[in-house]
Amino acid sequence: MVDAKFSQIEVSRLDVPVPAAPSSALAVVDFQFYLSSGQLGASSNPSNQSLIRSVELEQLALTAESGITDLSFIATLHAVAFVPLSKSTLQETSRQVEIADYKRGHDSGVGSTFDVPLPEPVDLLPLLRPSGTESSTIVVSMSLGGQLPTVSWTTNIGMALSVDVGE
Amino acid sequence: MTAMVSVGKRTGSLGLGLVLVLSGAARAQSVQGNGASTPAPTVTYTPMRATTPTQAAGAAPAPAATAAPYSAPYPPGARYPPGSSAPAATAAPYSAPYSAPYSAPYPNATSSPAASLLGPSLPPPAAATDGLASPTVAKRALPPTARARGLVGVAMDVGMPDGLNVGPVVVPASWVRVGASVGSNSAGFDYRGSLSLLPVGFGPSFDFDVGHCTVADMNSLLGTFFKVSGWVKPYVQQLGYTYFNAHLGIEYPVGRVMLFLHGGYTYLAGTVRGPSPVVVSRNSDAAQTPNTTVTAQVGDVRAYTLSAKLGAVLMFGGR
Repeated sequence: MVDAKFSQIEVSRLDVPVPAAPSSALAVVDFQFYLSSGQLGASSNPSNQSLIRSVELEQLALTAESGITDLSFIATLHAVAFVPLSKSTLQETSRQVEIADYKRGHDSGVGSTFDVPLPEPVDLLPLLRPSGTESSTIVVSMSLGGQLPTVSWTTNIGMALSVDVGE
Repeated sequence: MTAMVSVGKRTGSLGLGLVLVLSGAARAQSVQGNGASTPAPTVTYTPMRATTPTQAAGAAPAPAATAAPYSAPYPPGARYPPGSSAPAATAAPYSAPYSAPYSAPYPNATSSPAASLLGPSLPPPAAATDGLASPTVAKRALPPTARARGLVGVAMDVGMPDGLNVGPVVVPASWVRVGASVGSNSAGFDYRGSLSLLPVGFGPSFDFDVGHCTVADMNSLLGTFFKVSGWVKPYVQQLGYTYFNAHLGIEYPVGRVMLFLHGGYTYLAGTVRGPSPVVVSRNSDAAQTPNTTVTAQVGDVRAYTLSAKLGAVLMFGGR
């Protein structure tokens, strides 16, 4: 029997492009990025699935990479992660998890890095147990609201996970 | 005229007989045919000994018995019927250093029906009463226990998860051995303390170890002894652990050396580190720049696993 617990695994998704807002007024922009979950332990094999006992999202952060330097404009953020039906279409399936639902309550300086408040760790284990017909990919879909930049920009997405594996 | 009359049995050792001898003198005492009284003839009764040797009570042992070589602490051969199976007793293995009278494992001949027919029992020879005092028997029977071979020694063993270890051992008593050792599991430095309990000084043993392997790159080593999924390997870049062994073993003495094989269970607790980012996916551009990386910081690992080690202890000094 082997049991390994990692309290902090940092997953970094770099240079995620965010489209420009149509106007400087309040707006909402959607963007997606995907993660290859095969290297995170995702498998459709039940015996391999049982090796991963727990995967929880402890922290989610956005860091301005290019185009902007301050993320204080973000008033709302909603993020959902799901397993697509296939990697080519990224079609959403019922295997999805809401990972963040943020609404800014008061004005505060954010700076170049925005740590999205998570009321509690988010269980991501269903995303690592795709069926045989599903892809070993995790798609994260985000919606940003506020007075968004009218130019496109890029951000680095950082996620801190706690993982418990064993057999 | 001489007449002989034999009375009694001539079987075995109890055959007796009477011989009536009518000698010339006896004739002189016979009644004459004319009725005249003549002197009475002399009659002599002579006990006739049996033709087979008979052991009288308190007599010395039969020559055959005393002349027989003493090969085992048995009563003299005279206590066994002719053709009895004394060799069977000599074939009985001597398996433990008994201090009890040596006759204990064998049936009491004097109480057997056959023995009662053979007459009074004879006292066993002196060598039989003190049994193992015979140097030949004692040297062959006593196992060369660790204590008999010395107080200190050096041990070397190889196993998992211990790796290869070498260090001194102390044997304060034949049933206990303690040791400390250093070594390597081929990836990191290892140090360990050991306690072995040998109830009879050799043979079965109970062994306990506590050791620690410093943090090192053990990915290949881990994959050798554990079933590790492919996706996990990149994250286990460094591993260090403390382990506890609880083993059952068998120890076999060969002169000053005690060979041993221990096996059992190990509880292992350690630290896993993956300080270098692992590239999970790359962009599809020409540069193939990484777009997703995973960095596994410090993690904790625990394992229960089968373990074993094979080694030898060389003792110094001793008898």
